[in-house]
Amino acid sequence: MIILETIVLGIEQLRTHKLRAALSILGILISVGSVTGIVSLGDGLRSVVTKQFEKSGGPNQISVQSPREWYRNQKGRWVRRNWEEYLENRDMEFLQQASSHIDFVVPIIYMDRTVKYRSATASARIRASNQHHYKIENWEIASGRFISEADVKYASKVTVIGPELAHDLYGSENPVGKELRIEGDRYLVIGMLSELKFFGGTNERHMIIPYTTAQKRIFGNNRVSRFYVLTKAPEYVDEVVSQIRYAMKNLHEHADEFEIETGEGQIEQFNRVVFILKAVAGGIAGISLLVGGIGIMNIMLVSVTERTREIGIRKALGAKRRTILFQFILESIVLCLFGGGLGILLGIGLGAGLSAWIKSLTPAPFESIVSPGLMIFAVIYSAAIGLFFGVYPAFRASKLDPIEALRYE
Amino acid sequence: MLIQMTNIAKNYEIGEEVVHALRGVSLSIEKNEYVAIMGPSGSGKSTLMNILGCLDSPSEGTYDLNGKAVSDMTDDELAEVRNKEIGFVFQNFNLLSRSDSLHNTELPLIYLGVSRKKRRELAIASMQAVGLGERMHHKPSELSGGQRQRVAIARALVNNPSIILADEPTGNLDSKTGEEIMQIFEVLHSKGNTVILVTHEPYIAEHANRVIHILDGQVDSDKATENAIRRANGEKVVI
Repeated sequence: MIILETIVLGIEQLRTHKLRAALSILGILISVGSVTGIVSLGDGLRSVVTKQFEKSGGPNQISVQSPREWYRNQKGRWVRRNWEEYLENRDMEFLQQASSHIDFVVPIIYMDRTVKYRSATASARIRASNQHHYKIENWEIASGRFISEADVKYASKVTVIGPELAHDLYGSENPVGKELRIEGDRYLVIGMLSELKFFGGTNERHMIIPYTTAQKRIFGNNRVSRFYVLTKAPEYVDEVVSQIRYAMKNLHEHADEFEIETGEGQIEQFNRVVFILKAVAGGIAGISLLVGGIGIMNIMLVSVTERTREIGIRKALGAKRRTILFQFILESIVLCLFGGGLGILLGIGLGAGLSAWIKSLTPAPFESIVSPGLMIFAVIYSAAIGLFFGVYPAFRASKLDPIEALRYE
Repeated sequence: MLIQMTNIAKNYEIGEEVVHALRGVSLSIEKNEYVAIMGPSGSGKSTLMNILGCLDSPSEGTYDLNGKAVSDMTDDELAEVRNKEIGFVFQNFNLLSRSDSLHNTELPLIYLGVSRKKRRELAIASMQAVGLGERMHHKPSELSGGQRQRVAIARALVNNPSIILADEPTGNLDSKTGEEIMQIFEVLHSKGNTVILVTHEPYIAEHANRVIHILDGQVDSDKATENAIRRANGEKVVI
């Protein structure tokens, strides 16, 4: 019951000193607002990335990479390794036969080349791959078609290009059915990708050709930079990873040098980055909240001095030390909760505003997310600041001698 | 015996010097007495009042209030005694300026832990007893001096204390209003309350039945007034 009285008293105190209360909670408001805003952005980012990740079969995905040609030796110098071993077509074939849990495998050879159409030239990021490639990237076809199984089988000279590349080469004309040249060889454009609706990776300058075509006509070998193995379900990932390791041991001398990564590992890495982002934001906000807390302490000390006589009256009428202590701590908490509450509103607005701004920059389906957990945390944290910085002024108030306090003018 | 003080001394250390505010005061006050404590400033009158009101503890001696040895109590225990046993009326009213008179009146009951509903009832009854039934939602700044002192008296009465301790209750009031306030004490006394007035005005002290003079930290004289004799004879006292 005294609790209720004290809360009412605290709110009354806020109402009588509106400007002062507003100024003193400003620090809390801004820091809770900024941390809520940033964390809601981080959560939004994580959610959209996770969705994309799941859509692209991320949880089912295993990446196997050829050993890096350059590595850092013990002296810290970059050196080229003195043996040659790469992923090859036979690795892929072996795996597809060895495991029944594999849905499909996407081989990729990466290269950057200048491509030409009549007098126009453009630099293209070529990915030589197979008919499944678009699935792991969430790419969509704007016009024409993607490369087919037959294109891969017959090493056809066909290509699918990104929208910016298409614009550089063909202006506003439809590129499908037109030709372009890679190192003098003619390729038929069979499709154009639609603009990627996701920030981070862009597909605008990308160009896809069958990997068999690249191997036969450009490199003259059977090597692959990397391949993605997609399992039929996420729970097969661990088993397939060990099958891949086993296969590598059988087929390669330096089997351990092949990097095997799971999609889960990648998303964990990403989550770690988001977590660090949030932790840094939280840290900065935590420090600013401390500063805000000091502001609260200052105002509470002023309030205690100003209300010395009131404290004297209360003590004379029977308020115990702990009653006074409690009253001022609660007032400080009410003050901070008020600031924290407004801060959450500010943060929601900030997150929404920033995400709208990000959306206007990239065509990403991005929304900030204010989770209930975040709000609860913000509320508890501001209350804790109120408690922590309210204790000392409240202690001073509780210690006042009633006779002295009653005499105070 | 309601109040039993034996050899109360109070010493203050101011720097190197020790000030003896009270030097062995012994007095006893019974229930339903009407006592005035008088003395010039610096006599120790205020110190005695603070100790009587349990706002301060004596350096030496014992003080029993309503059967409790308050001289040995801790701060919090004293707070509880003040809450239950003592109703203060101050010269400068000492009301909470931001609260209305009803809230001011019920304040001691909040610390006593009385329920909201019960508190309201008691506070309203107390305010009606001092003739302020119509002014319950006025703040002190909206009341006259006499009305403020009535609120203070209502507050002092609300927890039904053993003693009403009034420190110069008319000091900030004009003489007509002062008389009205003194009439209230008169009524309270006649209803069985124990009233202790602290004053330096002889005509105020005259209202009481007994006047204790304090001088240099000691009891200088302790006499019954003419009013006491009149009251004892069953005469009505009108001053």
